[in-house]
Amino acid sequence: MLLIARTLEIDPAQLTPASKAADFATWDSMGTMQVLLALDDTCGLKLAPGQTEGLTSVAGILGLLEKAGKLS
Amino acid sequence: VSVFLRAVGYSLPALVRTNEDLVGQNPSWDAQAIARKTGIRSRHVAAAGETSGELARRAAEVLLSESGFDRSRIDAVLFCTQTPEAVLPATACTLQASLGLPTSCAALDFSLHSSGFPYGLWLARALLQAGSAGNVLLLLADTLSAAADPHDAATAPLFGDAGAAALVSAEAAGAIAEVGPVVVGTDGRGTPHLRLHQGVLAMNGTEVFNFALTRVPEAIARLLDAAPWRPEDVDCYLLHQASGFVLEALRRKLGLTPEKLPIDLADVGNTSAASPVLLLRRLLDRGALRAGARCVVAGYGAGFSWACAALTLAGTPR
Repeated sequence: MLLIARTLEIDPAQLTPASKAADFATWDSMGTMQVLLALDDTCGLKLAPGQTEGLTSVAGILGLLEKAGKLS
Repeated sequence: VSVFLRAVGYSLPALVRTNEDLVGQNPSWDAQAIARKTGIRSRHVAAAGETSGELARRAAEVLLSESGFDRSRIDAVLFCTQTPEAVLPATACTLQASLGLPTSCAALDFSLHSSGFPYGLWLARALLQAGSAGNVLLLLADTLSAAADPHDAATAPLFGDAGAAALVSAEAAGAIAEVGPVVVGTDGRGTPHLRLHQGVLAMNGTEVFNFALTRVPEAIARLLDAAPWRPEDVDCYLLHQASGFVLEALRRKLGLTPEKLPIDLADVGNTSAASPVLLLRRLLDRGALRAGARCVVAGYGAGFSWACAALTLAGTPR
């Protein structure tokens, strides 16, 4: 969550597991790409074609990380 | 059989569309924000009736005029475009006639997007090494700016139009570079994410970015194994100029300096298959590449399709 907040320049207190891209002005398509880059940098997360839709919500991102075994 | 790049040239349409022009059509957009996000301030766009074939023809004429190469010695013309003049006939056939190439010349289109230049080197190299041709004229051009919805923030700011030409030959004399191994790849699961359907260009930028971030470093690693070059042996990475954001991310991921991975699209935008040729030629014109430089050329785009080629510049590049 902190990584998402820092990447999108959002107050971490505003982010919840129910947060979606549409809730934040900085979480536009460019913001989504920045989140992808940050996840690649910090967790080595690799997504197959068609999986990036999950990057448009906190729950989706957590789901992708879990599926990739990146959630400790 | 060794394969050489004899010359490269390009052409740009005269018409220029600035970020301010885009804002004029989309008052909620911000010209500075477009430049910051894409690295692009303006792009050349084809006028009505100015076709990909015409841009390719002009690029070829630049190449032939500058190099002085005898066009009667060209054995094959390969034209890479996703925006052909017509589905039938192949634009390459029109180019054979408009360029005055011999009727013994093979002419065919191949339909690839931004992987087109290194992919075309792969095709030309195979033809030359098989002895099927001695001199191959590789042409690349697209007019995707007309297919981008002018109100689509994902595509309208990105795409510019250009034509490019490269002469690939089995003769070393007068070459600007030797073409080494080329690796290619495809992941058709990417098909829905960048497509020109019923005349309109549609792109899922996040999917395309994910593809580039994953496949380009892998392809470069494969090429370095095939060359074989160590990463530190490479002087310059000539990547398809997709957008400033994509290129900066790749530069960071590959751990490269701005000198090793140049970004040069501020005044031309993303010119699809032609872009690595424009980059190479503009770097040569500025004297930014040393004689003997080892270069990796990488193209990646719709399909998803990608290709990487190893180029070693000659002693006195032009």
